[in-house]
Amino acid sequence: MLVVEVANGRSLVWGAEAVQALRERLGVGGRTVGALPRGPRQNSRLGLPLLLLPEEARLLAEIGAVTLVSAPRPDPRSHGLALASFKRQQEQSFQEQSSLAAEARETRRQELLEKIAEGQAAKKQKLEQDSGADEGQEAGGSEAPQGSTPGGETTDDGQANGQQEEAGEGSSSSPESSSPPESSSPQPGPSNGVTPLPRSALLIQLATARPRPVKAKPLDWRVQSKDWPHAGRPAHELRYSIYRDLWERGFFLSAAGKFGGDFLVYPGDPLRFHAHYIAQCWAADDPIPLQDLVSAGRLGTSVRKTLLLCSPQPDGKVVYTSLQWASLQ
Amino acid sequence: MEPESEPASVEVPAGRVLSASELRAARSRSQKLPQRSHGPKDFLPDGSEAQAERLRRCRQELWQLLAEERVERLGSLVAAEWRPEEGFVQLTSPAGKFWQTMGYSEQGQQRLHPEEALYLLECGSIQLFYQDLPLSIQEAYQLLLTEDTLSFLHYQVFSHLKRLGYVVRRFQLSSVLSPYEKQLNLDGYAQCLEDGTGKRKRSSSCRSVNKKAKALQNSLPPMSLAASSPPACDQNNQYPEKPQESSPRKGSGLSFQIQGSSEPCPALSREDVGCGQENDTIQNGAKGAPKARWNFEQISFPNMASDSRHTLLPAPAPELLPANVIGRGTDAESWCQKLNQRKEKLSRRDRDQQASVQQFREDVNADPEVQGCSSWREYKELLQRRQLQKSQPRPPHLWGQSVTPLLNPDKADSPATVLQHISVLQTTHLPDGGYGLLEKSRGLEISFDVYQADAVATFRKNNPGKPYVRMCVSGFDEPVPDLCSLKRLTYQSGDVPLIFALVDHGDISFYSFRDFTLPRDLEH
Repeated sequence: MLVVEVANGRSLVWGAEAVQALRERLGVGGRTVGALPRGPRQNSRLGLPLLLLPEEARLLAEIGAVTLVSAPRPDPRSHGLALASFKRQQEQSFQEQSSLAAEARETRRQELLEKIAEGQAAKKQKLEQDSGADEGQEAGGSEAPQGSTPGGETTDDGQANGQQEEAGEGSSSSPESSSPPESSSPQPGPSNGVTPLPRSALLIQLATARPRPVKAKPLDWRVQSKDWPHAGRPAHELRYSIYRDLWERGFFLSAAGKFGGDFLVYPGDPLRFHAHYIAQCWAADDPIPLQDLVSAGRLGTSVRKTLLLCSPQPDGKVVYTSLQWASLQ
Repeated sequence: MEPESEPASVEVPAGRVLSASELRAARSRSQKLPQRSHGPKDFLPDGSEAQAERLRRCRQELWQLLAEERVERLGSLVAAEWRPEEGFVQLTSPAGKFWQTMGYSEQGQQRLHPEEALYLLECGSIQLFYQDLPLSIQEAYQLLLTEDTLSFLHYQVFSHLKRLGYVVRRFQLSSVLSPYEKQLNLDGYAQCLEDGTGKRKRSSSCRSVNKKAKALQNSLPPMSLAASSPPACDQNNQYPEKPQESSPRKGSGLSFQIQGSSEPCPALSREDVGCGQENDTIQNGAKGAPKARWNFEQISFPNMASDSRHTLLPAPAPELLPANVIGRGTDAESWCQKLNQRKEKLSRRDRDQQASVQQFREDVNADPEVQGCSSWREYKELLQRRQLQKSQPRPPHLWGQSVTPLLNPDKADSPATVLQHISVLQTTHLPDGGYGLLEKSRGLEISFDVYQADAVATFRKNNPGKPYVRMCVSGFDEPVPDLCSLKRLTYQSGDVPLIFALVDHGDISFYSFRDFTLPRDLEH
């Protein structure tokens, strides 16, 4: 059961799985309005949260696919517990990351061992060919540590480079300097203990959704409240009846303020299909001024979409009229 | 998720928490953004496998993108704390590169506005704490975007512009000038002043200036009611005549037309020190005394001309002098003796020139009637009498009736002037009259100053210069702003163009109102 939090009339969905379920199973798209973690400084693709139209939220609640709740305020009573568990989780993550980093470094060193051994063997051959074996031995001895330090630096824990910003992190520099003499022998022993990961290299997740479960009050969309001011408003009721009818016919709907209408109607997912109609909602007894008809017609023609004038009838059905600009030739 | 016994509460499931291995794996994910729809879109769903496959691929990428979490190194994150009662975010570790264009310093602390902090949190540059617990983006949206600090729509516009690369700052109301200040070019002067002292902190002084301006505006109307006879205009005109110490700085007694009593206030608000004094002097002027206009008939000016010399000048009364100036009596005899009384000897050419010009000039003093006047008043009466005699009597059939001619024949020299006389509607421009509407600040307000992206390298927060554009934020279902608000906002914006950002469910469109002058009939 999906839960959607509503605040000040706005419904936001924060979970990627929820967004997927809504779109694939229920045909409700919504619009992403947040920054995308992969590219937070561009506007072409946005990320979570997903903003739902009030009509979309109400439809989902009506069909029972989603529970609407009022966005919960942070509870001061559970704050202490949350803080303690956060600190624990942080420490645990730190330990795990340190051990993972050490493991990764170790495997890397193992991989490079063969290369190092090969390199040393090749060097020896080359030096034996040249004259001056003594210099060759010293050169071979000094190149082995150099061969291992790049190996040590290119491990995944290249964050150790980042520790240059930290002043007092001399602890990780000493393992670096102590490992070369060790690995100068063809078979280096295991690295000297688990090198502690510097604190600054700890990876933190900036959570998108709240990382802990919380209790919230369910919202009744039939009743007007501060978080749901739409209930009972004639404009909302009108739009909702049109939205529901079009959704039941299998269309995909989204907001169309830029096109001068109420909804954009797609035959399928907007990812792969263009919109066919611009739906404008009119109350059954509202007179439509002629200028509005003309401008609506012009609009539809200029963006190559058909304009739909939609009106709910008293018996519950919705009547649609499409406008097409005809030429008299 | 069954509702429980007490106010049926629902459990909201937690978001995803990454394990350590997932965190490490996240560092090596691709940074490229995939296309939204692979290839041109289809027209109609036809149930084919190919279509379904393309759709599935697009969707798959979308879910993958949305499911990614932000992973950052602790060392590259700046720690910040949210202060809800004060409404700002305080940085607890030194700021990074974003400090060049965002944030402000106050009381030795580095602070961010809520929208800036939220944007940086979404970018992954800061870690926001509230009561020692780091906030997720969802919690940050909830806590920071309340109605009184900053609404959701404002944040959407802010982040949209920031992602495009603009430098966006909050609108500073204190930078709005009155028309008088603009006349005096006070904006240029004030800029120099603030740069010169260097100690003046813009944000704190803005607030104090705003408070003083408000206090003055609040105090003036009741005072003008208290003073029964003199309207405020008169009071202001009296200032240079009254021996007030602080008036030279104000200088508003010089010739200009005041439209309302509220005009001097922003001029006053510029001067922090002078404010208190001006307030007192206004009150003294209102409650105290009678209008101290000078009676020139009783003031005798000494005649120091050669015919009857009064050269002994007494010391002036001390109350008429400025504070540090001491007056004393003098005997001007010595100065008068130094005057050169000899007649000027002109060369022959000069004399001829003078004679030729003299023919055309009438000497006023040669007129016996003028010589008969013994004072200025008599001379003016003589002039008036002559004027009345000169003007022809107007024909009664034209001027005696209820409908009189619009123009005199000598005044109508082109069709344009005639049309000007009969025009009922005058051309007006958008900022006209906006100053008087400033008090009615209800509804729409200017939210942001936007500076261009290429100015980022040279952008200085203390001296940002003129913004590229100013932004007002509104929702799509709100009505179009009325003329009153438009005038007020355009006036506040000054010479910077004003743009309205309309947010429709995540889509932002920008609109602006432009002044348009109808073409006029050319004069023949």
